Amino acid sequence: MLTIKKTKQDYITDTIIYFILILLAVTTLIPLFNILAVSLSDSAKATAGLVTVYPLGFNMTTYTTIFKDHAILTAIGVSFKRVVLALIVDMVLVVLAAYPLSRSSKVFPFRGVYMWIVVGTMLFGPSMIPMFFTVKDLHLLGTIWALVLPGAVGQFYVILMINYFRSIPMELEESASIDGASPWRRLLQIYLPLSKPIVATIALFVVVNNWNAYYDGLIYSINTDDYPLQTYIQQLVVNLDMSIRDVDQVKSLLTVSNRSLTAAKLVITMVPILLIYPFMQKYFISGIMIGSVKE
Amino acid sequence: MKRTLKAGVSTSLLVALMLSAACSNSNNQGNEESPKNSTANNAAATATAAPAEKPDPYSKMPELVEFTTGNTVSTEVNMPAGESFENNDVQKWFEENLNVKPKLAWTTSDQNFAFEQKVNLLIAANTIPDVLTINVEPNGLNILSKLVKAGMVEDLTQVYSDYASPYLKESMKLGGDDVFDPVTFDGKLYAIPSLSDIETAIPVVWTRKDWLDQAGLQEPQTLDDVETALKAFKAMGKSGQLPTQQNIYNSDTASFDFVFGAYNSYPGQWIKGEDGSIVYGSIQPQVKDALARLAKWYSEGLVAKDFMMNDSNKAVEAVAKGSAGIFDGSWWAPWYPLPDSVKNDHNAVWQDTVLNGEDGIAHARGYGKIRSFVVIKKGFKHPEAIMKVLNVAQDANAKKLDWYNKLTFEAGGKYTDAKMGLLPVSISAKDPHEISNRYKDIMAVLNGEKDVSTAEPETQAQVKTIQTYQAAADPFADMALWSGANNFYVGAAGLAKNPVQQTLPAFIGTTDLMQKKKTALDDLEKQTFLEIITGKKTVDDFDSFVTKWKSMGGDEITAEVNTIASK
Repeated sequence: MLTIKKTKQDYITDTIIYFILILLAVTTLIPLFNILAVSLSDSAKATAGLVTVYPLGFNMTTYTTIFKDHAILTAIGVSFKRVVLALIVDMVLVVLAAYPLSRSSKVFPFRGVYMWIVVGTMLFGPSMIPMFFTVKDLHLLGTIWALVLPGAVGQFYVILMINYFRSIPMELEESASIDGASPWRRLLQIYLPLSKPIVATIALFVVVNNWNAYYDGLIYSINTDDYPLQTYIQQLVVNLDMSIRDVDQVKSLLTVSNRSLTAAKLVITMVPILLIYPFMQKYFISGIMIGSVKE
Repeated sequence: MKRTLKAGVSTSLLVALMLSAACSNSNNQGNEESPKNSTANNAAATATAAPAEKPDPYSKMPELVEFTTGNTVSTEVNMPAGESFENNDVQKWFEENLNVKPKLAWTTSDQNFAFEQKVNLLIAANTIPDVLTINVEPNGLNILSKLVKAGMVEDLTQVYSDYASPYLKESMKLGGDDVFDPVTFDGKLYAIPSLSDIETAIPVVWTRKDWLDQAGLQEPQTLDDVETALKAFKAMGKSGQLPTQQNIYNSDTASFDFVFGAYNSYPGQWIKGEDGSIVYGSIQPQVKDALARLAKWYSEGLVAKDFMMNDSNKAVEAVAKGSAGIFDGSWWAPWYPLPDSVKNDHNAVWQDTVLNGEDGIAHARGYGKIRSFVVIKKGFKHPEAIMKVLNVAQDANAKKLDWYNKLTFEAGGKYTDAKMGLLPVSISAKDPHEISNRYKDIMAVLNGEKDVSTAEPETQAQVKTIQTYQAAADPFADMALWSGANNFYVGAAGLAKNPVQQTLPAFIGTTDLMQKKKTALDDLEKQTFLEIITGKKTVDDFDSFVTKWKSMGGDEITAEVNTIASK
């Protein structure tokens, strides 16, 4: 193996680059450590803004409170259910939409029309009220499907998938079809096994987006028990600054203005994504690069 | 189809009226058997004295009346196991005594206007529940006019005059003659309002008494005193800056409201002008004087250089940390942010007052008189049943009902910490000056000028809290008790020190033109005010702002507001 000798200048450049990268990493990590430290601190110290990256008045009461809290446990349950269902439904629909659309218009007449329909919905999304009516008339309000189905076919994912399928040599499919493989078999036994990186990438997108979505939870729920975790969390980030009309209102706001408790809840929402990210990351980078190049 | 429905509704209404009138006699006897419920007794007595067909505000409905409603739920709800809004002792009381039962159609969080969003969606979808309680903030009156225009809510004029209890009617009168105006359309009453504690809007100046004593200063009375105190605190090694935030006015905590108030100016409020017409507060010449003062403070460093980057949570960090000894807040500051301050420093002693303005009078901003209101869906068969619930709710909220106090207010009560409103539908009408009057009443009892047993139930309850606190071995062990006791004992005291002259808004709500043009005007205003305070513009630029504001649609909006208000 050939080794290139580093010159003095190279070392300097490297040092500068590492320095900048470390700085970037630190600026990303400090807020996370701050939240973690606040969650483990005494709430009076937290409100006073005294907590930096290590806890003051260390205690774990916030976490014990959370695990006795019915509302957040329900919300976690809703979120998990949503992510699992979305993962299954979205992947099936995206693959089934992308495979035919990735064929040429000789094999798939009017492919261009279908493609425009997909791209068109990307450009002109529906606004809130019509979406609400649709979901309501389908009797999905308050069900988990109201969160899963409206976003089940991500156009962006379909296009990524199409491009990836197109990057697989046509000859593979031709030889398979000469051997008598049906389109289903070609998709399931040739295309999908070759597309693991893009499948993993899209799966990660689906999981992260579904985990992080909060607004649909607010609109399509019937009871607060239907709130997914992020909707629940969004309701905790309160500004005690509205026009308060009586003391009871203050008291009810106060219970959520406990900064330590809110921080602990934020930490808990971060955990699942932090856990899956390292395993998916290698696919993530390779998948999105390959999928984005169009021949 | 519609016609038959209407006919059906009015027939059943008639039947209900007749039935409840017929039952009123037997029910009176039922009420007398429960001596606990003194109001019900009084009301029942008046009802008996009245002609026989007079509807009874407290009688039991002949048949079970179920109604659907939507509700907010706090994330911190703490109900006893197995119980809920639909199933608890308070609801049972209503079912047994009034034969009325709520059904929750949906719930939302109580934060970030989730409820208002839901209501707007449901109006668009035409599926509102039978009974709804809507807050005036942020745009409740707008929602109400939408509901009325769409014919979705019931006219309550007759129901209110027939079925509202004498106590409720009396309490509403305390709000003044115009209290029903915002919920009345073409002479018809479409909603039953809850009244604001308008004194809650008064900006008070909180100061650390222990530091002032150390510096040999008295509690500040004027803006000049505030400057002196800030400079003295700085000399003592504390923060010489006023905790302030980006919302410079109409904000409860850490705004400049007290400065604007001192100049008798009310930015952001529609107020009565000198000629009697309604004018916009932000463009009045008094605002210019207030801005000049703020610009001076900013240049002298009495206000943080980057205050426009802070929200109120950030601004009060200095209070909690124990570096700031003076801030603008509300009378309820013993709930927020003071508990954190005394937890971090047990020696902190806070006091509050309303500053005397430049003309020697303590001026303050106000709220609209109505805080929220209850509407009933068009076609709901028994609006009088809801009115009866509201009668009881009014008594309950005035702490007149022993059974309700025991369950929900007194220490150790089954639902005292439930953090959930348990009344099927609620309303509250109190004297708008409830807080300072209550304070005087409480102090009279504490000073021994008045006997506890003769005091009103609310006073008794508050006195009990203060005495429990004073008897506690460690005053900081239970911070909720600390806040509860000090709220009146210390906080409300500030409202009673100087006689306050409050300016209430002459108009509340959003008009059509406002929806189109007000955002741009507000942006212009905010930018101009901030630039004047930070010295990027001179104070005289205020005049060109006024001209621009008027030409950008401000004049049209003002005319529209005056037309609506004169109707």
